[in-house]
Amino acid sequence: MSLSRNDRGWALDGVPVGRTLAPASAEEAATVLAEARSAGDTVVPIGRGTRAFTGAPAARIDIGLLTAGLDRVLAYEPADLTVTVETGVAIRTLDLTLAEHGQRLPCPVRDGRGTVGGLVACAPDGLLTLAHGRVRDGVIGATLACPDGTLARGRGRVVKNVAGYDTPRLVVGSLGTLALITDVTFRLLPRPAVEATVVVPAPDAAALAATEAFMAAGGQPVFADVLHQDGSARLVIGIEGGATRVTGEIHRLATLLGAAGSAHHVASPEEAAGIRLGVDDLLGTGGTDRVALRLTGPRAADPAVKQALDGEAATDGLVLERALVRPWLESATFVYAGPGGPSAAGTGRLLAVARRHGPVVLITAPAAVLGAVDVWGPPPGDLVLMRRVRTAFDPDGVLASGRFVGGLS
Amino acid sequence: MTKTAATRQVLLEAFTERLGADAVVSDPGELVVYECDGSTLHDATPALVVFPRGTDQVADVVRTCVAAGVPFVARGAGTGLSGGAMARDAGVIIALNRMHRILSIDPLRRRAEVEPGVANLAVTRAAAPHGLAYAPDPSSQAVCTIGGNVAHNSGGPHTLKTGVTVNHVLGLELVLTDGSVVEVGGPERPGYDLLALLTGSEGTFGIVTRITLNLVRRPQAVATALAAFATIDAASRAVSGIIAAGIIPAALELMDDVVVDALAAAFGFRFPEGAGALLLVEIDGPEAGLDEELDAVAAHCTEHGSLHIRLAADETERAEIWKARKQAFGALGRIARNYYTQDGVIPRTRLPEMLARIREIGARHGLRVANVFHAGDGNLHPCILFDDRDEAERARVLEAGREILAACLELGGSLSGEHGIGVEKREAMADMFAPPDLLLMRRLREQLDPTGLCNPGKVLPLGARCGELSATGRQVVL
Ligand SMILES: Cc1cc2nc3c(=O)[nH]c(=O)nc-3n(C[C@H](O)[C@H](O)[C@H](O)COP(=O)(O)OP(=O)(O)OC[C@H]3O[C@@H](n4cnc5c(N)ncnc54)[C@H](O)[C@@H]3O)c2cc1C
Repeated sequence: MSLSRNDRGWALDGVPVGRTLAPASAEEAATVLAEARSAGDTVVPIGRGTRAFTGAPAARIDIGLLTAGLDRVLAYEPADLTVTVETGVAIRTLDLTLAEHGQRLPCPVRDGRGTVGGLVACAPDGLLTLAHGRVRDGVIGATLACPDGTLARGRGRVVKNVAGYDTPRLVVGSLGTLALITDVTFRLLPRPAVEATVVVPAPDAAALAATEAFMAAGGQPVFADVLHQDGSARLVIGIEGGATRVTGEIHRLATLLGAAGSAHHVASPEEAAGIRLGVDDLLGTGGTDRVALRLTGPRAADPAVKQALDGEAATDGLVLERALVRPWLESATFVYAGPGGPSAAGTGRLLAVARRHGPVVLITAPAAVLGAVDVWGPPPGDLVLMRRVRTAFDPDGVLASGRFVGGLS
Repeated sequence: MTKTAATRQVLLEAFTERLGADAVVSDPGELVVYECDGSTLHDATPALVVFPRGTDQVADVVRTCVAAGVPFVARGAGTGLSGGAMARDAGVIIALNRMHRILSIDPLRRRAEVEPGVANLAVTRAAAPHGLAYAPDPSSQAVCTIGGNVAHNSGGPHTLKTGVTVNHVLGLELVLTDGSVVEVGGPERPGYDLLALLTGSEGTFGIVTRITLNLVRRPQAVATALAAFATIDAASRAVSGIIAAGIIPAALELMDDVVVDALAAAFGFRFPEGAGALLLVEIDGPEAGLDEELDAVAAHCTEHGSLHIRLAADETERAEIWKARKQAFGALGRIARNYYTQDGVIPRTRLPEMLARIREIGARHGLRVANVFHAGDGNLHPCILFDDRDEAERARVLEAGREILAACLELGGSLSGEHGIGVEKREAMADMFAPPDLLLMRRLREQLDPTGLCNPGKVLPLGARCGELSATGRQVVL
């Protein structure tokens, strides 16, 4: 989201925020929601405003509910590999705490300026999704402040649990349109002893086929992506674990790449850090003077699709700034920028071209563009169920009205 | 004819006409088979059982039931252990056994599309020629269905590392309670994560008629070890040690002295002298570094006093080690007339404490309790041995079961790790969750099944314990 502040107060994607409130506890947050409900006010939860995943602009924002006051780590059991944390905690703060015990989130974020709440509400694809799943796969429990003023807990603090409906995972990725998530319990992973990144500059189909062969033979990279930056592309493959494993796996991969005639090298620590940050940055990509969109499905990694998008963007005076293509996750994120920024008409055309190839979400664009185009695309077939879910949580549309898929409100 | 009998007759005629006589069971003698699932402690006779052959027929049956105001419930193989597939209030059972086709396997995208009645193991068998497998492997996998797995979010011995059902469902087709059909979709699609809500919802939101599953590649190498310990305490400390060290085995299964004795008595297994507990550890992944990891596992076992560690040198020896684990329940069946398997979860560090509590509860009720369970994720399966001809003993078994679950909750755990709530633990939900938690779940239930006829009486506590009135102020029967 694009959060700005001027002398007239806060604005979210150009929509002015009436006033902001920063509850100091989950109970207070629930009360704010209940009061908003009876007053007919609309509320948008705000972490630190760093996370990009936008959603459509809200119809109206009477209250910006800042989670900054929900800033405690409630329970950390290193030996159980679980942590329960309030959602206003900065990801970086949590990460430092976990690092002290050699642990990390299964869905870590290198750029840790955002909050845990933002991570869970936006649920961007992470660097390690290929190996460790999405944000929702790491969430094992949560407390939700609901618009009826109650705090509803779901699931719990143990890693395996099927008691009751999985409300915590249901709200992951819901962009604050169901409830305010006040705390979350994650399962954790050990930090690997060694992190290595293999780089194939100028990857061709043979390099991708060699990587596929590596995985088919039991290779387990933590990521395998094509990163486009500064006018060139690199296939980047992450290998993690103990020293023996990493050395052995790099050797196995290198042999296959060599046989395919693909030049490759193991990234220096600086290059590797840049790559990992680069991947992350794209996944949570920001900036309002550019347009970023995410395409999913079997055609996402098709070079012809990228070519078509590049061509369409050029008609709006834009060039590809960065892209992250994830063949093994069937997703691709493209960021286009240009001197005048994207136009509403041009962005609309770009989305139309992309939508010929699969579901597309507009991740970020200038506020004026966001309001003028279809951010989410045609409503999915299960929208009817989503509406009912929304009604169960928020019958009066207190939360983030109109921002989500199908204009759910 | 009473009203119920008349309604039953109308349904019988409608189903027979539209699905064919061979797709309807109405004979009281045959209906007995469908009175209960794998847990024989709860039963109820269905009015009818129908066997639809496709989504359209399922939708038709659902609409017909709703029009007649009769409850309905999906049923797979009936191996569930919480009474989930049981038809309360003379309902109709929609048995999905004839919808058992594997519709497609896509080796490139590593996914399978299947009908709900297909057996879990059949999917892995079909994927095997492509070097792929369906990861969740409940011990009942030879018969239990994917539809049942989705309903219960089932796990298995190998789900510690690869994740349970919810981590492997990519999409599904659902017949809603108004008879409409919805594609619920992929985790990559924008929108609420309905797959997370539906997986594990125990068939209370509709009938799943098609499922897209993720398939996994086979690991390059596997290592399996069986460590014997003098006591279950020592073995469970080794488990905590392995987990705390950040090792995530593919499987980490624990068996106590009652099981060890039963295996020896029933099937002639021979274990090291003085073995009072067995820990099965399997690790997998790339070959490089696997030995190191195995050494680390062995070091943790030794540190916690293991008497002996047996390593599988090849596939035959691996199968032998697993045989002990796989035959554990069979062995218990030989030494006791009945056993009641509980399913609870605790934080993994509390294992030794919890096992002591289970022993104490069993002793106090004069009952033998065997433990064979998924130790790696803290998922306990205490099996209380008993004789169902003894009414008083039966009552003590249920009481001991309740106390064990209460202890799980006290230690910060959960009522169920994989068998679900069903009817069995419905009332205990109010011990684990506060009224607002349950109210939210109830509102979801009312929204997704406004008729209240889809598998009623499961998952959520009845009446007063869940707040008498629904959010809409309407009394609903759940
Ligand atoms: C010996 C034995 C070992 C077991 N081991 C394990 C284990 O290791 N791990 C584990 O998790 N479980 C285990 N179980 C429990 C059981 O096998 C699982 O819960 C299994 O998933 C149930 O599948 P089923 O086809 O038998 O479902 P059923 O018992 O027929 O039904 C279970 C529930 O699913 C619902 N349902 C079934 N099909 C559908 C559908 N298509 N749409 C909507 N709802 C549906 C039913 O209404 C019911 O509520 C074991 C059981 C036994 C008897």
